[in-house]
Amino acid sequence: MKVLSSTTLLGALVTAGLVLAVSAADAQFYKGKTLKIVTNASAGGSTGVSSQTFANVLAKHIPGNPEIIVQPVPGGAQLKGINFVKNARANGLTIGWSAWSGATRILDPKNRQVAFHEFKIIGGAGTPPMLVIRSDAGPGVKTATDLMKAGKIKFGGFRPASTWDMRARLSFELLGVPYDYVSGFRGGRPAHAALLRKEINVRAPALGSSYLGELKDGMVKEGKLTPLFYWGLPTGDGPTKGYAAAEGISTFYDFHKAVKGKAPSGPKWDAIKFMTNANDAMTWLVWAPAKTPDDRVAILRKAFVATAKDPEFIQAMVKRTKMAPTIVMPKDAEELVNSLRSTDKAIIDTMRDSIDRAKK
Amino acid sequence: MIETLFEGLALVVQWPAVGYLLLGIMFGLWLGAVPGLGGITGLVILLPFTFTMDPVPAFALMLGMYAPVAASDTISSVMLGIPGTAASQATILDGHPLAQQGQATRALGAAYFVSAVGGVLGGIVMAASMPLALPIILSFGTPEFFLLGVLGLTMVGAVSGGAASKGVMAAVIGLLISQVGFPVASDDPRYTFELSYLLDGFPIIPVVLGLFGIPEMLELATRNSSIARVDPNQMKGGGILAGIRDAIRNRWLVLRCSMIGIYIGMLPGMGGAIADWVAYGHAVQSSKDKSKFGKGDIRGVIGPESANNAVAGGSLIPTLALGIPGSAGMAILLGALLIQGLTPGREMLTDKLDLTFSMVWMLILANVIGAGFLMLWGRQVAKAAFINGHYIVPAVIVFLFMGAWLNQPDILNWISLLAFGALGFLLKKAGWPRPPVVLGFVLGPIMENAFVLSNQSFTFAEAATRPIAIIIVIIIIVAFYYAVNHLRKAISVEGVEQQMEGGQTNPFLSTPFTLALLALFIWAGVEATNWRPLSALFPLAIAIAGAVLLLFVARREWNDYRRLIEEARGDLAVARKRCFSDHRYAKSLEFLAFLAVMIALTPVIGQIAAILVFVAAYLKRWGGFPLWQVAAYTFAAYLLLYGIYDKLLHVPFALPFFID
Repeated sequence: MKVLSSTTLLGALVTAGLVLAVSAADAQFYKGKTLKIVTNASAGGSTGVSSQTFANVLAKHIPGNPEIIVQPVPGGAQLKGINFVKNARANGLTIGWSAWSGATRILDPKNRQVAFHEFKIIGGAGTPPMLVIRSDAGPGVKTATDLMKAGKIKFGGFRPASTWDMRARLSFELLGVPYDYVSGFRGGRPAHAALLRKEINVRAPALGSSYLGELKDGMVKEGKLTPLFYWGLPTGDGPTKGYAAAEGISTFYDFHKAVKGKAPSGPKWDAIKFMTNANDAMTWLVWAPAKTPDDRVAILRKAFVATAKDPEFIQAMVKRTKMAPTIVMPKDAEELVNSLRSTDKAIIDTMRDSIDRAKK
Repeated sequence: MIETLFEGLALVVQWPAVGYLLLGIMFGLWLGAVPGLGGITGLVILLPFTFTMDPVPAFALMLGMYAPVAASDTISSVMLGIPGTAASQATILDGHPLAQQGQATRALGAAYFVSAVGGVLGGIVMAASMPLALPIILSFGTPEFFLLGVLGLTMVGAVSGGAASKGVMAAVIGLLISQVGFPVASDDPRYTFELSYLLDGFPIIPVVLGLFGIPEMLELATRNSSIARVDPNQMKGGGILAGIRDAIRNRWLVLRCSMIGIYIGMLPGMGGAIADWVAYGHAVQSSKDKSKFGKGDIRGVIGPESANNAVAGGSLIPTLALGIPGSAGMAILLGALLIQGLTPGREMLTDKLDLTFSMVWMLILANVIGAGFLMLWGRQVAKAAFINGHYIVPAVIVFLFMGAWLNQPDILNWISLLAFGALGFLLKKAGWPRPPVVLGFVLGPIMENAFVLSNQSFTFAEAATRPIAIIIVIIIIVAFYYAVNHLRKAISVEGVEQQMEGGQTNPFLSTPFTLALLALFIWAGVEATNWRPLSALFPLAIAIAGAVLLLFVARREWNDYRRLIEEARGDLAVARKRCFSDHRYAKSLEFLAFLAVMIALTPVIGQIAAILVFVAAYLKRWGGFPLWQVAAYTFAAYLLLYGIYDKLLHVPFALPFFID
């Protein structure tokens, strides 16, 4: 057995001491500091509410309990907030809670693309949309399957390239439901107003805050609105996974099987699955600028995981948005971001084709 | 119902809600008074605090702040000629000339009084018409919204001062500027030059602050005097009470304009930004003697100020009853409802009716208390009209630029502010009225959005046979008749007074500007031919209308030019000399250059340092103040930036390049 020389031992001890000292110093890096979470949407919306709810709990999971401020930087096709964080000082004091639209960002022209894979990914969170129809559409839609005999429907959406709109359009096409697409609503609220005025008869609200929070006990209970389906989380080639909170509403997979007698398939279904996976599972990407020191990213990742599991956070989200968001852990979020770089060309073509047709 | 109404009052007057209400009012008064801040900034700041509060104190804080902003923003509009917020743009047209005539106290008194009346009426109508309002709101669809936009455009005649053809053309310029960015139903942006900054178009803050704020400060700096152009001893028009008497004398105008505010506020998406313009237009069109509008007619203050405070009550109705926010501020308030776990709609009208009524009381109390504070304070504020303008200019410039930065922390926002400032200066000097530019800029997106949605949802026959659409068309025809009449009279007036918007004429400036505009509109039209039909329709229509209208403007230019030459007995050099005899042109360019240097220095030495360099340089070079005063003022500016913008508002300042 070799005996360590006193010099080696001393060196090892000094090194260990230094490492511990640096770790202790880093562990307390956030003490007395302000961590800024930048969102790329206006205050008061689901992005703002969820990020602030998260921030309120996050502080206690970061050693040093920093003050946390949520700052909205909206606009520019969500780019202004993203660029703001990208160009911020990479010191771990500015991170993004961004509606990232990863699935369709890859279709954008080069100057609007974002190299998300270069960022330090901390985690992700998601909230799904669904479809509702006015019960007086066509001869009457009292149950979801009545959609098939509703005749031509009028679907109101945001933009041709919105993943919510595109999935709705592709779903109607797979089901063989004729539709008119009315685009240009600047958010769910104006679309809802148009639905109330009967200018459209189908729209896509958020499953949590909008459907469960407002519509379910309001217009649906009054018999004025019928829930159709949501898309659920893809599980390989099999059926999609539903949400417990959406009890009584089918996933599109199940709905398709019920009305068409077979599972959905083909390029349009592949595109729907792709968008659902990238958008519903992770509506918001939580990230830090590329050069943020790894040790600070590690602290933030650990705090993200702890916050996501914290009952205080989950209860607050359920109170405000009526369902807990899906949480994507740091490694999975990183994988998802990286996977977009090798998106199947057939899926990209299907999405482009859908957008082009919608613009016409 | 009556019992629940008083239960609502009881909720507000109990502790701590009443304390939060007062705190909110104080905060709102300050936010309104500073150009570039305003109610939305306040809501964004306050929203995070409400996460841990109970509903009543949370809404007391937010509505207490939001309601009086529309009253305190009058200070900036009247005293500086800069809209304190988007809702008080029309107030500057007559409010600022009144301040220049030494009648600021009177204007403020009238404005505060009618603000309180409008705010109280807004609250009362909200409470009374909540169930009845729903069918009204829902009967206005996208065709009606488009037509309301057209109706708004007919107000151009009222806000064009003495320059009729240029006024209409200025509105078309505003419409064209509004076309920058994403079209309504497409992901292919227009006129953005691949700048992500322009994807949503120009933000309204730098446009409005630039068009009005920079030229007014430039005027104050180069005139080397105070805001008021008369001696304090020559003050006329009385004080706060005189303003209140004016308001009482015009009580039916107050009532009508308050109703305009309530009903426009009630319509989702129209918002408060146009209510003041419509109310101003109504004040002009319903007056027998229109000759003083634009030169300091108190009715030009009473109209818009009655309307803009009533908007909050109106816009709260669809927010609470339908979950459809009537304005951007209400969208944030809707977020506050969700944070509290409350559901807009039936719940707010049944189980939570006491809370809904408490909000009505909050609006009423905040408006009355806010106006009371402002009246107490009014005389002191009005005295600012007589102090040396060089003390005012650097402070206001700091507020303007920080307001733009707060709105969007991007150096391009500063560049936009300066560019629109230069455009505002050029328009002013070349005799082009600026208010129609803002009117066109605000109405453009509303009209295009409504048109595109309507076009997809209705056939022409369906849209044209809607009863309310037909009524609005009739109102448009009547308003158009009055507008044309007003314009015709304006055209026939020889020698329009200089102080009116569009009153100055300088064909040596205006003609090259007209030609440059012609080139711009032709280019805009040609660009639009490459886009898809729905994206191209509006810009193409605007470009064609602009190019045609420019021919009329060119005709007027030619007439002005010939008159000048005749006056100079055929000597072109003499005519040119007369037009540029004002020595302040050079100083104005120097002022703009100072601002450009501040922007250029920002990435080099950092934003705070660049601002402080500007403040110090201005005070020394323009004000000629002793060094100790320069140092004290600059230090105070630093404290403002550090204390308010950094610590309170958490503004992300631009750092110098050497700090990574």
